Amino acid sequence: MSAPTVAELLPDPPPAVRMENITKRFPGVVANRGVHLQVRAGTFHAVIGENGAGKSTLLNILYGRYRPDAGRIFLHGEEVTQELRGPIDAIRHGIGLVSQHHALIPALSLLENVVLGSEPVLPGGVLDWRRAAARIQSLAKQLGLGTLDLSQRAERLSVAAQQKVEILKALYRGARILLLDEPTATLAPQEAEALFALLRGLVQRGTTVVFVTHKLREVMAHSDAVSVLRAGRNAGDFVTRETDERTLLQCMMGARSGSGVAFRVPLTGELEPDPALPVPGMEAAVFRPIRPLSGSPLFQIEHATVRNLRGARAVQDVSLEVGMGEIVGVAGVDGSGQQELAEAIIGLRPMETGRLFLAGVELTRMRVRARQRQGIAYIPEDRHRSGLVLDFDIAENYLLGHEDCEDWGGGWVLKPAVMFRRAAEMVQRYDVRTGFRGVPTPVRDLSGGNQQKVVFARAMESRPRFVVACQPTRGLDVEATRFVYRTLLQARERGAGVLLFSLDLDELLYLSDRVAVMFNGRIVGLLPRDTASAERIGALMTGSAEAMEGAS
Amino acid sequence: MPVGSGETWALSLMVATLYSATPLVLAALGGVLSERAGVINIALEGLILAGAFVGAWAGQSAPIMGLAGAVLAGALIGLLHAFLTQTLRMNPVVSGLGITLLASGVTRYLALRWFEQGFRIDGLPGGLFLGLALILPFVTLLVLHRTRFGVRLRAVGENPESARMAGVAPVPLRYLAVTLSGVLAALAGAYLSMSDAHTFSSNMSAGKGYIALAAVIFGKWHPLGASLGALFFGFFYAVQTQLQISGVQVHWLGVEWTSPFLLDCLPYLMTLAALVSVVGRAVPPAALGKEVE
Repeated sequence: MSAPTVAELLPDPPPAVRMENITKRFPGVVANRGVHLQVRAGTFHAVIGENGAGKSTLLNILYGRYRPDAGRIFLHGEEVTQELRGPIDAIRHGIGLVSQHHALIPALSLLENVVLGSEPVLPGGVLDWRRAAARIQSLAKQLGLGTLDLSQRAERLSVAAQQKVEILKALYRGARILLLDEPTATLAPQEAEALFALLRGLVQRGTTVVFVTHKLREVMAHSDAVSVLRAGRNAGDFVTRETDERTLLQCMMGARSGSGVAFRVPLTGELEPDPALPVPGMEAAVFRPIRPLSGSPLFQIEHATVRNLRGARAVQDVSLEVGMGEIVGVAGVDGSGQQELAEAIIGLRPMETGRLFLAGVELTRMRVRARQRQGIAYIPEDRHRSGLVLDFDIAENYLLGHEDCEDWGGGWVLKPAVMFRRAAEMVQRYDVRTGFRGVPTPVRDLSGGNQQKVVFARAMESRPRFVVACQPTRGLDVEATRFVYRTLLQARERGAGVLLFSLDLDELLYLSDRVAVMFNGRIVGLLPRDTASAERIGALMTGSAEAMEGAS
Repeated sequence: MPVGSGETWALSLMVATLYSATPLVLAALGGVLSERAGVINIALEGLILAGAFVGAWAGQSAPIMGLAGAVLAGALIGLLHAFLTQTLRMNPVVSGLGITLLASGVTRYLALRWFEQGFRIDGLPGGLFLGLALILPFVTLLVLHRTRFGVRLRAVGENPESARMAGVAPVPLRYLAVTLSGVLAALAGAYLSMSDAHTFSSNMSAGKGYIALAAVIFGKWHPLGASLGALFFGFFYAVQTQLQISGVQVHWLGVEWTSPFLLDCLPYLMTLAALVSVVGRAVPPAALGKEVE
């Protein structure tokens, strides 16, 4: 027996993070119920769970944004529960957070964004630009980011680049524990890989990384350990090497995993429809080759150029066709012109050049309402801002856009009784969970999935011939996602065309008959489903030149 | 117009423009500071009035007391606006309007009680305020873009939550910005009573606070832009006064276009015209008028 080494004799170092019995209530919700989290120093730790499982809340508590209602927090063995009164205190304790929202401030320069809150100053409070710039550039070099143009505004960077600057910002403050909240949600696969490579490097140099995600592939490929949350409680802790995706998935889903997982697609990337779920058209969606476009297509857009709010050309010379009973997916890194294209099709944004046709009728000069009458329906990206009036009740929201239908809205005066009856029917048909108040519930009080059901019900009310859906499953749980897929596939089955904008490649691959890829406002590839793959789409999304040659 | 005095006329118009613009520049800079920190400040009008009143009242003993009093009054009322909007979370438009109406009523009442008919104060030379109006735009620019305070102020005006996440406390910063804003607007008022009129009359601000706000929007919330806007509006004040002094009369279509009542509208009309021409292009600070979460 050899003598123990010094390292073995020393006691284990205390974990970098230990959270005990954390409970956090928000009005009407308990986000965390007695949650534990333990993270070893210098490891890559994943926290996974469905939407609403309490992952983000836990991270924000550790960053001091929220104060827990109960529980204790230790950093490197020392209790800091009382000291973490705000992000300032967390930063002081060496914690950095890269959050999904509230990230960089678009109107400020990169330098200002990075130093904000810990600005080096000369006497008199004057910023010491030179010192700040030197420090940032040396950090950037360490991270392999090259030399940055620090004077440009943050809004000019891509989402992926902004994220790297945020990591740099955390390290600039001396973060030894880096928290990331769904860092890859809006990244192309290649960008995500690059991000993980960067994070790996940090971990090797001793930084502790905790990241929240719901993508199991990432967890398996990159993490050292995994904590699973379900409905605000701990559901299990695993060493990544000793577990597999299926185990983690079951742990995430709990009792529902046996029968209820309709789509493993968004979670694992496999095309595996759930046989237990009666979805008309699903088989076809997955296995049937695309039907040839016979005669003139249902929807055509020709040479469209659209300017964005700032006057720049966000969409350039885009032409696209959608056939009857066809779902055409549009992939692209966030901000590649998808939103502007969708808005131009709906009529919310003027086209500089180009023409639009639906079933042979030219829509180019029609207003929004006229286009709707021609049979276009719209599922907007942000259901809070453009999809719903949150303080209106279900019946009022359901009526919006149909107010001039005399049979149930009213010509000059609304017909509340008819509205109520129609809304009640809709609530039942779409299984909207309204709670005890029923139809008079303001939609603000519905869950995200049920809000989206109201949006869909209204859009589908007039049996549209053509549906433009933007990120229809963003922020929805599995249950609601399944509803959205079913509704879109039903529309397809009855011969409607669907243009589906999504950042989720698995979703696009699952639903689309063809996938168009946008990059910098242009369509750089149009792939039939049998030749489309996440890798090819990802390469096109990031503007890889070789990929473009292959896909024209 | 006296014959052969074209050059003199132009020169006096220029001087009149600078002096008319002086209070507008000071108040507009106050508006820039407050709004770049995210706090709508339509209390500017009331702050000008309060500054004018306190300047005249305290200035009776010594001019320097008048200046100090105006600054103090501006700071206190600025603090009140910050307290109402940031701590009590009152709507900033309601708070600003309330402060303006209150200032208008209180100064009017106190002026009736305290000031004799036709009282005059020695006051301060107008050049002092003109000098401030020439220097402060650049000082404000440097403060906003070259100091720690400035970077934090802009961050809080764009996204208070991001600022908080970066370790900056938004509320104290907004307090400071709005207080400074009050001081600048009160200085504009002190100019009106102490250097321009050498007396106080009720509602002597005559909408200058609102015109200053228009200059802020016209100048896209930039200190130099806002000051240029103020200069632009000051020019029309000057044109109006010069026309009235010159006694030129223009009749057309049966209307006397040079009637003092119509001429008085000129600066306001130009304000509207100017705002229409920039509207849609002016992007305010992203969190303007938004509460800190």
